[in-house]
Amino acid sequence: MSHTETPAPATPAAGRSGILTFNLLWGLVGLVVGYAIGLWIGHRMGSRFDWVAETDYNDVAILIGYALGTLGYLFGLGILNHPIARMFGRSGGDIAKSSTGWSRYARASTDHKVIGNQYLIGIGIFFFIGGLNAMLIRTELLHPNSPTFSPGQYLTIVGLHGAMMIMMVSSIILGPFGHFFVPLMIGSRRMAFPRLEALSFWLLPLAGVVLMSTIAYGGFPTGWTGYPTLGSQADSGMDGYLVAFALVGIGMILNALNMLVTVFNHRAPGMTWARLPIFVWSMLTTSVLMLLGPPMLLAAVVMEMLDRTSGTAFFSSSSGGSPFLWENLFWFFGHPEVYILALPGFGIVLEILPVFARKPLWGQRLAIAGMLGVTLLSFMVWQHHLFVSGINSSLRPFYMFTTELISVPTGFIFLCGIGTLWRAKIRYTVPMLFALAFFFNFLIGGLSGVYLSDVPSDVSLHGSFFVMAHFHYTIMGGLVFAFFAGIYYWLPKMAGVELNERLGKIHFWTTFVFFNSTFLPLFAVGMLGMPRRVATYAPHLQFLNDWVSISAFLLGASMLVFLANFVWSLLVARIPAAANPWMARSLEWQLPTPVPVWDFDGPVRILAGPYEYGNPAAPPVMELGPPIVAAGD
Amino acid sequence: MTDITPTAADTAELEARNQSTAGRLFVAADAFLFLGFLFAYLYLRALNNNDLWNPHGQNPSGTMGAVVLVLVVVAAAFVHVASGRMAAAGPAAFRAPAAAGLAAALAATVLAGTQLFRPGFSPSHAGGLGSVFIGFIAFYFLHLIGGVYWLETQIVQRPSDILRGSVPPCLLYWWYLAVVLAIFSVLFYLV
Repeated sequence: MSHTETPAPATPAAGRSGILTFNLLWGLVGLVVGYAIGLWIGHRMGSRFDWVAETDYNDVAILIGYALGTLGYLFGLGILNHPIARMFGRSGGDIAKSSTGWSRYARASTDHKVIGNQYLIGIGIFFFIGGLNAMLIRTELLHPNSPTFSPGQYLTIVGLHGAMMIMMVSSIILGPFGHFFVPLMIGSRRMAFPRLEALSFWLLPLAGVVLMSTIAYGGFPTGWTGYPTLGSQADSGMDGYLVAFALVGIGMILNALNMLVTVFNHRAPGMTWARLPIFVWSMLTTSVLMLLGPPMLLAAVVMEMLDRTSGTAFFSSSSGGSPFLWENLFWFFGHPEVYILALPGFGIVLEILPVFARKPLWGQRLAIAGMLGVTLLSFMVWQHHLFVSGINSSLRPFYMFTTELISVPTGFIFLCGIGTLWRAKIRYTVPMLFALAFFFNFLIGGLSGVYLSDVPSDVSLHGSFFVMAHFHYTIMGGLVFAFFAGIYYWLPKMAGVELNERLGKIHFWTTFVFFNSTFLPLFAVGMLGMPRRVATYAPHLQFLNDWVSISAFLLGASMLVFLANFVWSLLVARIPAAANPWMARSLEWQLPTPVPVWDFDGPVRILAGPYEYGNPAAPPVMELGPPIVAAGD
Repeated sequence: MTDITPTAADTAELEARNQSTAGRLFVAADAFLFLGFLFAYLYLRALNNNDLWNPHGQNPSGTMGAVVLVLVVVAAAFVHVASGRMAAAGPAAFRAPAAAGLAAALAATVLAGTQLFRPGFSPSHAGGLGSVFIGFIAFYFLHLIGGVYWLETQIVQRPSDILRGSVPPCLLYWWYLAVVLAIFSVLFYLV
């Protein structure tokens, strides 16, 4: 633990401004130019390969196009300046700590607060697109057998929805809230590696664009899981899926590395592990998963790229490979990914509950143990995704047991939440409502997960809408509700303005009601035998499907209430937020709003934990030393 | 109130600690990437689908593999010596042995590239073993390029306290690359 921060200059370093500087516009130009050059090179190279000549598309060209496009994009953004300058013994200084104005959000920045806001906007856009895809899916399912889309188009829409949501929500909390608040909550003035932080963000929108570009190549038929042999045989849209996942995987690893080093090394004096806010613990455990899971995904993705471009046979049974190899590697990443989504949600709601219950967090160490337990066990459950894929039957009981076991540390977290609420004088603010709904929804998702982990029930329900309902209850009912709790809780600090409370409550109640109205019937639909990813279904299921579709449209409309509130509050009303509107104790709320560029005026010393609510004798949470002044100022 | 104003030395110490922690974490993450290829090797070899693990007995060149391994170990050893000299005699003593390490690393990279682009067999007819070899060597080649870049940037920097902090993770990385290649060399050339 230390507090050895870089002294702040008297005024923040201003980056070059104007259109000629490195920014998103030039990044997009670089992307297009790099892609075109890569395509040209790939066609020159690919024409010499038999397996390219035998097909009517050239995966080599497309992959080289994406690779060079990525380099061009990063160059245009100015992110490669520093690595290139380092080769010549210089330090590239084109990324400013911060500057003012809206244009800073379209440039690479090393200010963790700017990056947090960039994540919020970027993920919000892709979340909206993914949501629109969900509306298209439900439109198709209004009728049992009168297609709105062709089967191929339907599969592409399903795949885009799943892949985009999974890729984007991987960082939905760690991105905006983790980057903005973790340094503030531990008393640091920055992340450990600010340039890496900028890179990890800018890879995410690129991944989204690449994923969207698959539409131009005919889409991909595999859903978000990319299973071979379907994936190996798919047209060129599959290349975009693979590249997008590779970019997201790299971004996740860099994100995790940065977050872990920051928490390990940048804690202020007095910020002991016991005083570390529970939200930071959730970021820490999530980062462990993000560090160790995605490399397996990267390995699998590259194997698939090689199968598609150089004729290797990783996933082809007829040539010495096996499609089950992909399933093992993918789910070694994929199941920890589920907890990459769940743990930040736990962190947010446990951070919020004490504030609005005005009580200390009950059993904080138990909650931490729960998060660590989930982290450890999440690497031991992946084969439950292969229960019906021909794994050795003697392995099934072990993976059934570990999957059931993981509900125990999850239960710790529920216990801590309930213990905190016990006999509390609860303030039913919008963030608190979303946090409480998180527990309701996640309970249903968690219990149905235990049910699915049993081999007999999984064998009969595998691939059905029951599974779909289960994971939507955990991911949307859990993570997305926690995300909204976080937005309503922290946006006053992030944006410096208040959100409208009345619209917030309308948003909450409509979302809560229509979410449950959408996904609860899907358990029944699944048990009645309707499989996922099929555009047609038995006529007797139409009533339930129509109910679900209409509920889904209303759920979509409830998001428009949020969007209206967000746009109105940020762009029109702009009511300045108080520095600490919730009377919270954690460090970020002790800072003025908006947070100064260099966060803390002086070095921070932590004096007490963040959850000592209801204790009049509790000391202030921190004290500030004399202002830090850079040498020469 | 205790004076906790950071000093310049503190900041350099923090940067060194950051790089050291990040280096170890990166190696941990990266090991999982190679574990993917280790899993693929063991899984496909055990399955031996249609007797196509190694259908034509087309093994990658052991001689070339051995040379690459020796060069990587030599590179790591030179970086080790450079790191030791820097600790004993200051940053100025780092450059000469590190440059020798860089030369070995460059040679290893060129040869690994040759293994990738001229493996001596067609990937499309090489079965499971050939596939895993191509996949592994492609990744390893990229790792070597990354290692060469890292080492080169250390050498061209002005000697400073930051250099002291950034050399140990670079050293760790090179020894890690050597260990990874040694393990896979046993699998590809000896088993």
